[in-house]
Amino acid sequence: MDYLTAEEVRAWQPYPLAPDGVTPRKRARRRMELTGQWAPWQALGRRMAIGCVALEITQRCNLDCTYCYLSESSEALKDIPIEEVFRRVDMIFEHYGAGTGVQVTGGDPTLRKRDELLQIVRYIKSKDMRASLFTNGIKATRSLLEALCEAGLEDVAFHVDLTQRRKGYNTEAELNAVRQAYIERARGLPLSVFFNTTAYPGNFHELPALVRFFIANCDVVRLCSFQLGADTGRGVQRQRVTVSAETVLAAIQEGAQAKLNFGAASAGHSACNRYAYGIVCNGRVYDFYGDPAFVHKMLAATAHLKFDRADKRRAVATMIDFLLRNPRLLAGFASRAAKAAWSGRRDLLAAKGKVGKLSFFVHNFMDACQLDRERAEACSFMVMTPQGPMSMCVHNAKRDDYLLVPAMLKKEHKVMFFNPVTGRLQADKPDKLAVTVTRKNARGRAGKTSQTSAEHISK
Amino acid sequence: MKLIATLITVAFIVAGCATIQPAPDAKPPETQPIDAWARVLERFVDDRGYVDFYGLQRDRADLDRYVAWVYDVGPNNRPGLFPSYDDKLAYHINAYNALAMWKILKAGIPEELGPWARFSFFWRDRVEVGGKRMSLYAYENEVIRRLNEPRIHFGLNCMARGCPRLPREPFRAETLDAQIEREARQFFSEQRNLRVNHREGKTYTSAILNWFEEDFLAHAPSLIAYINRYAPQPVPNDYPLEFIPYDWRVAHQ
Repeated sequence: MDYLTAEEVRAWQPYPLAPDGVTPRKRARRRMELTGQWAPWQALGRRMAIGCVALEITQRCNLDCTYCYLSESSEALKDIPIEEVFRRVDMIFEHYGAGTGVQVTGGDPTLRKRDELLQIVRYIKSKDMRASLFTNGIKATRSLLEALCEAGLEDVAFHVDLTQRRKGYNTEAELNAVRQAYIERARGLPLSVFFNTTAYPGNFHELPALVRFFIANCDVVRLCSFQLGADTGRGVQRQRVTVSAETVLAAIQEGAQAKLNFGAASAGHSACNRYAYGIVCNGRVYDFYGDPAFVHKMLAATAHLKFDRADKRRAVATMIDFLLRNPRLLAGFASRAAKAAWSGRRDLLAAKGKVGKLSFFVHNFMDACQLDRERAEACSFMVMTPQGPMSMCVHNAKRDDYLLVPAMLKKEHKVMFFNPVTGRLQADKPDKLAVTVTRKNARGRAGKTSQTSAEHISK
Repeated sequence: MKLIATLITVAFIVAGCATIQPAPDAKPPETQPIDAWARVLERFVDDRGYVDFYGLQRDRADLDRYVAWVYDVGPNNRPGLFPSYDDKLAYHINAYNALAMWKILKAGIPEELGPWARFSFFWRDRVEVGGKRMSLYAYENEVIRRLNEPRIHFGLNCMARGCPRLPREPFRAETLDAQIEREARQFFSEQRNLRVNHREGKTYTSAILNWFEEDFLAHAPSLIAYINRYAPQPVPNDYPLEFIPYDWRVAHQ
């Protein structure tokens, strides 16, 4: 494995803008070719220019997860000014163009002022990009979700699991009460609802049951994502866990009671992301990607189509319209659909023809001290730093390099600097910023040791 | 006595906070740039009267140009440019709406005009109209309302959702009467501004009717009589009026 050295991590820079004439998609394709990831299953460079870009609008959080990726400085930092957030949204647009998925995240983004959160979502929408809210859900009330929908939010991803140490919940099964409450909050809103779960030894045995919970709620839940616990920085779990991508895939299939093809379509590096698409009928899951060769053909032919994830009917109509214009693919699709319908006829009858869908995603983040060069270069999940987009895993290894820097702002025709430690605007650029980790703002490992991420990497 | 002293102190402090919003960078044109304002309305306002503020912010030259002209020229300092009553009234409605739109950009495009934001927006942050410094509140109450035309309340728009629909064209002197007549009918045809609940035996109408009651009563014997001039269906005379809480969310598209 070709791991980045501590020096290389420090020297790793955000991506600059592509030269003129190189489209974002073309650039992504080139990255996939150079890292050996250009294959028929690859969506990056074919359907999309990037998987998604995280926009961290606050570093504050109201939970303290054992696998937290935030910096030990995070709780001591003030929110970056909204002008700086807008500038980063502009940069996302310049790098990847319209249609890009923007994860509005943090910390927990709902801790930002309500008005500012709405402004940010509306601004993303005004750029014709796709805004997704990534939250632990504690402050994501129905009223906030409604207002966010009105501002243009398209997805909400709730992160709920045992690593968050929510009081009174000792098992994932108990946490289903929280998940159910969140599902009810989002029900009926024009949102795609996702659930994120960190898979780690403490909940690994519960994953199949959790998958069954998501299947039972697939009328609202569209995607369940499992992220392998990784030592990304601040968390108190220092050892890389033994839970692997393969064992998590097996646990998902055990829960789904179906064989799912996780290799037919994905974006980025195959060791980082695995994706399967299930059709749910009468509580039973059917693999939509059962014929990879046909999936690849469809992926290539439909690369230009945009599916409305918030509106199931519109997405189906887009697909039907496409198939009617492509009789050959229509024939292939119809024969496979007929075959699937025949094999699932009993479930179809029992469900009176009602079918749903549920996607399964497995994210395999890298440890901050073991960053594989090839995977970092093929990354499909970027974080927008003040200087440009950077691979999420590399960013996690050096977060303070981007957090403990002043943001330059133009105010009333004057250049000012935002100091993230004091939260004040000042005329002179501050030299070196540092935070004091106190008992009040210390989270995770910081409460136990004063070691920084950078020191950790250098070991 | 103590209370009065405190109130006076607070009033002085608050008054001292009043700020002037400098004119846009754009050079004020010589003649009324009504075409620039027309382009803003045509390009960034939809049929509901909602505004694409972020699109406007990215391409704000026309609005800045128009606002710079409003700062510089008005009926008070250039009366010769506004010979008729309709010239003045059309100018003021357009100017008020353009200044409100411009102030939303200046305020960082908020989602809502909450109590503090309203204080800054309508009172504290002053603008200039024809070289005369004033707040938006004073502009509406001390200048525009004095022209004694109650239908202006269906044309003036502070960019909140509770406001009357913002038309996609400027008000023009030559067609002003027909335009504000149309906007009055439009206003009372919308459920959010007027609805009759026969079960409750009540009529619900916009808070605008409450705030500016005296303007309407100067032209009609009662608010219901005034409403019935424009409502698509007559409102029962014996139903009490209830005023709908104003929606202070900014009228984003």
